[in-house]
Amino acid sequence: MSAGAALFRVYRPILLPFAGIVVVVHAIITSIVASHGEMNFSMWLVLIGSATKYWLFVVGIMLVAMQLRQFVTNGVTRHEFLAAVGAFGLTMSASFAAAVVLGHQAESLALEAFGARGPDYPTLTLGGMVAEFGHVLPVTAGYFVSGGLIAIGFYRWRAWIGLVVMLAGAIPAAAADGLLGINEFGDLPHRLPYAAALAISVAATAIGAAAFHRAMSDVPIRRTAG
Amino acid sequence: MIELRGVTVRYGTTVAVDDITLDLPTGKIYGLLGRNGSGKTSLLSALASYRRPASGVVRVDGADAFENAAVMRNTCFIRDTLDANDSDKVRQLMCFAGWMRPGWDADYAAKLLDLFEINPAKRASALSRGQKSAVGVVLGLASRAPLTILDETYLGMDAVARAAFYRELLDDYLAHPRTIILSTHLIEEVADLFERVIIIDRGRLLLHEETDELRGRGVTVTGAAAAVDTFVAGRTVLGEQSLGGVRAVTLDWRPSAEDVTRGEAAGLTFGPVGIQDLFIHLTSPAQRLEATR
Amino acid sequence: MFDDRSPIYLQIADGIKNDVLSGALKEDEQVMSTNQYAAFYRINPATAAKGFAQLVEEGVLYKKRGIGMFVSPDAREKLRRERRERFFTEVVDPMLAEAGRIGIDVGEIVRHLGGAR
Repeated sequence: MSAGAALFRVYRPILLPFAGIVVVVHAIITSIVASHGEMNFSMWLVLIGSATKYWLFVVGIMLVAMQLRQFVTNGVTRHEFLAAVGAFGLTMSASFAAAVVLGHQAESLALEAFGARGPDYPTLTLGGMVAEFGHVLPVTAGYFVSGGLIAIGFYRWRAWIGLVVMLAGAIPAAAADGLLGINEFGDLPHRLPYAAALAISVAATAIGAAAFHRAMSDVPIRRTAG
Repeated sequence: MIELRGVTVRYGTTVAVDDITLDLPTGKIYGLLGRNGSGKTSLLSALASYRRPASGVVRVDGADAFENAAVMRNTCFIRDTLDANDSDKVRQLMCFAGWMRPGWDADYAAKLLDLFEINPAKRASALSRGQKSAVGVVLGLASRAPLTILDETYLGMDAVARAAFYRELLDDYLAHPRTIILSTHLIEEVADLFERVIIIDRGRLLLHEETDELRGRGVTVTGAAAAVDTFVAGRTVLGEQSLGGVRAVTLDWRPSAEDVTRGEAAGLTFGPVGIQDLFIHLTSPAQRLEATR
Repeated sequence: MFDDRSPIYLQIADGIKNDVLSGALKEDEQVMSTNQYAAFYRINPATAAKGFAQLVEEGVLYKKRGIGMFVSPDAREKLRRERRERFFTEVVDPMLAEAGRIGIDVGEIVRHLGGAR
């Protein structure tokens, strides 16, 4: 099996139940809230908005703390593992961003069908869906890279260096969230024009990914998990 | 052929492996001996690409081994502490190895787990020390990797389990010849399985010889102190003991039949030196002496 | 099974020679393969092979390609002759030396031998 396929196989039993729980919880809570009157915010954005980015952040950490050793001790090179991590990260970020947008629209339509959608509820046009996707994807990707960076800082170097790397490693997540993060009302931030905000966020994430790649390329495989 | 050329491994300022050059023809069972802290594990880590040497190179069949997919896929390095996440079940460890290892034999793995009485449903964190060692052994043997390295893997196992391991190791090596490197402290138990012995001391290569060459390489000469001193003059002394007027000197020397006759005529007795004793003498902290008396 | 303190391949060779002399291994009989020998005695097959090679060189065994190793037809006689030659230098002379060391004269030895006849 290729390293990429193996990585998806390893996380499948972690991801599917997580996704299932989130969807069920959302359905229950939304039903309860909507039964008491119209909803003027998106519960889906509230739950998923945080869940996806923090989940990817934790996975970024776990890939270094647990999977790196698991893969290399079974004959996979670090570069093969990095390629797998890259493919996994991109796929997950894009999938989660799509899930946010599609779920938001589904919630919107469902609330409308039950007459529980309030006037201030953030409805989505097609253009709105694309814009929302374009705001969520950099954030999920940024959190994923930040997770990995912070983990490799502590794995490869002594604790105090790890702390320094941690501060720097948080930048991709912080930049993306600060410049592009949307809130539960679906409000897009307007601190900077979208193009500029996107460019800065992507640059921070790309530099972070490059640093991660560099640090992992010849990292010694320790006996205990980082 | 596995080649190590000038391999040096450093941890910060500490040099664990100091400029080691070694040629290991494939297909043999090697014993790697060395005291704790001698650099054995660091050397094996470099060999398995778990750690990049500070300088020097490891080549397998002519190709640089570090980060080489073909080499790493065919190298299985089992360490003394089991490389598994606490939450992994034994069954999952076997399953993952099956996905990634080209030569993995799942039936053989199952048979070995049975032999060592390991419950596949147990999590790695719930295994005893001996069970962890056994799981490591199963992962190493069932991988059938062309280069299989077991680093003191089996030290946590009890004598019965170890005997089973040695038996399985030899039987599987006979059926599926490959390069096997065993690092161990239990020299006497397992020396019969080694075709060659490598001894590392303080990061340096001390010797690399056929096992039979080491058997009978040393001799202990015992007798009246004066007679012993005369007899051993000029020879390399590995160790000596004196009690009253009696002295026993261990030499790095293979006496001929005439030497023995001459010595016995002088009232001396000769004792053989096994590999473990030879190892102890070669790596003990006392300085190696030239007998100058 | 084997003494750790002298080369095992020589011990293997000696063991097989003893079997040939005692008749446990008959002439032209096939011996175990090196792998079988290694598995049986729990030793490295290369060591077993070295012992067998030593015996082939000494003419005690011969190889039939594709089949295995066999005891040479004249092995027993050859070994007996070798052992005879060495008997006096390796067994009798050291015995006499020891006797000299502890003060037994040859006459006592002869009387003892007379009893064994």
